[in-house]
Amino acid sequence: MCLEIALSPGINLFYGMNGQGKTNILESVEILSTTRSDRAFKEAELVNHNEESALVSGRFLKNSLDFDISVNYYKNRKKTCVKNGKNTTADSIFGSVNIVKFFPKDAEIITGAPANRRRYADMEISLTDRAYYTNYKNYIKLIESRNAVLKQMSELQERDFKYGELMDLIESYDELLPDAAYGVYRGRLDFLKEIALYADRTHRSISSNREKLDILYHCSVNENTDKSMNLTENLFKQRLIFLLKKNLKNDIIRKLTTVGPHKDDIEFLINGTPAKNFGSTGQIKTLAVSLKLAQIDYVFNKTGDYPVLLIDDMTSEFDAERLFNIIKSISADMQVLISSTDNEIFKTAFGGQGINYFKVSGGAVVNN
Amino acid sequence: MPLTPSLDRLIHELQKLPGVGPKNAQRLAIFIFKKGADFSRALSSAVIEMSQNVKYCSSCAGICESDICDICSNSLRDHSKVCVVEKPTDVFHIEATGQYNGVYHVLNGLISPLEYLTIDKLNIKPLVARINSADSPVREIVFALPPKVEGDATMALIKKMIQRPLKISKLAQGIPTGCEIEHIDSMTLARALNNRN
Repeated sequence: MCLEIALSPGINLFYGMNGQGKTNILESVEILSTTRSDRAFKEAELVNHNEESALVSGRFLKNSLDFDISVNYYKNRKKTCVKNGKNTTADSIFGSVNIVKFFPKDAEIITGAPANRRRYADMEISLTDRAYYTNYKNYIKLIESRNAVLKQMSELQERDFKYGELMDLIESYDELLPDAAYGVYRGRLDFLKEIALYADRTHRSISSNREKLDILYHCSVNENTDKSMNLTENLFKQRLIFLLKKNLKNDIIRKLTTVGPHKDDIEFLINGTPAKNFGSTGQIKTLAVSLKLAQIDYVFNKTGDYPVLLIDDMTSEFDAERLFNIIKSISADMQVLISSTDNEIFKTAFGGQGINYFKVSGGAVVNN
Repeated sequence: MPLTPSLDRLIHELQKLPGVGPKNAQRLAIFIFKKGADFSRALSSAVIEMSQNVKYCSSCAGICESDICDICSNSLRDHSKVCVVEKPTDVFHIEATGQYNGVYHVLNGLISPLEYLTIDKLNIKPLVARINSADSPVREIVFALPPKVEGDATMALIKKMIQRPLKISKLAQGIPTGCEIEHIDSMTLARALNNRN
């Protein structure tokens, strides 16, 4: 099955019943930006049961330059990527197009597990900062390698000759970890500082100035009681080396590295109270939207371009008035893709002007 | 679709080569058939001769056609300097620069616990024995390993296993000669900026 859509530069609304394929259209733009989908656990899940492969292709126009990106997924082998007709790596496509997405799952950034918050920060930084992305991948590889050695050690006795050899290897990783870890720590701190600034501004205006937003970074290396005190490069590295050594016995038993940025967490405070535990559903939704709107400013500030916005099924999350305020607050320079079960409320609010309507039904799309 | 038994067998064998898929193997097989009997004979005898003659050097684990390679057996080379590389082909690339007159040691891989590449599967222990032995002439180690996690970890590990004071260095990292700044990835550029001279 094949679907081709020409989008307008402004607001594009995909409407139709549930299960017709609206989110798939938004997902395909996400894939062209990041080469992966948040909805699929494994790449093979993106391929239809009856097919061998799945292809997503897009033509983009950025600063009056056009380029093509294709990502091909297969049942049994790794995905392949093509940019402007040439085979290339997923890494070199990653971030060619910047997106900011508003998905119903966004609230999980605040209420979900720490891994959700780390993924949020790492993904957003990586899309605009290639050096961070490369360093982050190195860091994760170091941790995974170290964990693999810890696992081997957990199966041996301390007096075994092999145990000593593996200990040398652990020490080798521990020499390399501080530099990579500090890069991740520093990158996230800088990102959160900037995002907090924009998000607080938006959050205040949405909440009619009643709520102040703060973002704190909880670093597993930082043992200060005051978490807003950041560590200097030297202190960070010293503490990490110390903690890696101190926790080693425990790490071997658990077959995991228990300290480092991969164990850190981000905390959102509304008027000084943790939103995760004490925020109301409404507050958390507003906070998630503030974060995403802040992301737009962040991308613009870093790249000089506005991102493409993907807004998935927001009518179920938000009352219409709030949603329109958000869409209207978004700059006219931005391309927006929205999926919704209801097109009437948009027609009422915008008078049918400035919006490109697509009816989605059974995987087919009709522009009207 | 099966072609003929002999072609199918050749295609089956060719597919075992790295980077050769079913279609490519079929194309190569048909090409070999069209080239005729002389070409096939020359190709197969070259393959057999190579597999009989080429072996790993007993000293550096590079590839050669005698027990010890020409570089290791050359008394004019500086045997106090050992350049550590990942693959046998790396030796040829460094030789081509004409800038190095020491000897080599080929690890035949890099440490990667995620791919089950452990110390025992690589040529690390012979290197360490070569350096640590009482009568070792080695005074300097030059690491020419790829600048990635596996290369860095292998280097850190070997340094740990060396028990004698030695001069240790690694290849410089930075911008390739003659390239445009705009084509350099930001990580390399950042490193080159930080280590500028």
